[in-house]
Amino acid sequence: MEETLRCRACGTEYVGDHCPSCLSALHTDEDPEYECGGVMEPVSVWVKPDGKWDLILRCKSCGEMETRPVTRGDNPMKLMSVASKPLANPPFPIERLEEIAKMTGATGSTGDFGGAYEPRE
Amino acid sequence: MNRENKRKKYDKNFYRTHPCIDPFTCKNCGQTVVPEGAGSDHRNHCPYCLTSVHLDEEPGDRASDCHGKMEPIGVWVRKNGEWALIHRCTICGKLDSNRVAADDNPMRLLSLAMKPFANPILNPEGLKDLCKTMED
Repeated sequence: MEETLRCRACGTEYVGDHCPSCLSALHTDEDPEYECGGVMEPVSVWVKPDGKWDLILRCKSCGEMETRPVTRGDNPMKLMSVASKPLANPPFPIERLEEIAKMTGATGSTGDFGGAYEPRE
Repeated sequence: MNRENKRKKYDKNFYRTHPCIDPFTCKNCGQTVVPEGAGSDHRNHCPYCLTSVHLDEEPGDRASDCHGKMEPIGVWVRKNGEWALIHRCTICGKLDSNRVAADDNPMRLLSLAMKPFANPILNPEGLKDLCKTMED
């Protein structure tokens, strides 16, 4: 029997290992010695080789990272927001990416992925 | 400063406070990696394929016996706006976060950040429905 928890970040009541509305969780572990009880905030999304998504959570008080599988009820907008954070804050100017890549000797290009210009049939 | 911390401060093998100046060969792509050019005294991962090796338990202590390959699974943005790579050990599953270095392959970094959007879970039809339900 799973107990109902109240999310410490947003106050939503939920069942499971993370809050479906703000995707935060509590830092708990099977081993009671490691339990710190801090709030874990979502920092990124891991696309596993089988195509499923895992949330990457980071504890606000001790900095430990954990992954938790994304469940069906999770807020899709929040998920998208977490996943797009790195793209919105790139460490280098995206428009000069190919130039930078050439300088460091890397290959690859940011070309055309098709269908971004006119609606697909 | 207690005795243990003082010992660590002068220990040349404690790489949190001492720079590591050994070049290494990447376990994954086989490229030779030199310490210069990282923009930091502590190079953590291969700048070509971004793979790391599970050597540390705590930063710089070289205490881990696992020595598994750590593959990059994602990036996240720190409070100060800089990117950090998230590594996952392929043997024991430990997660670790590390700053990106100055000479990391920018294409690989961006491809990691794009991974969630190149995934069939985000199907265009579902997103279209989502936009519609938000308008109603």
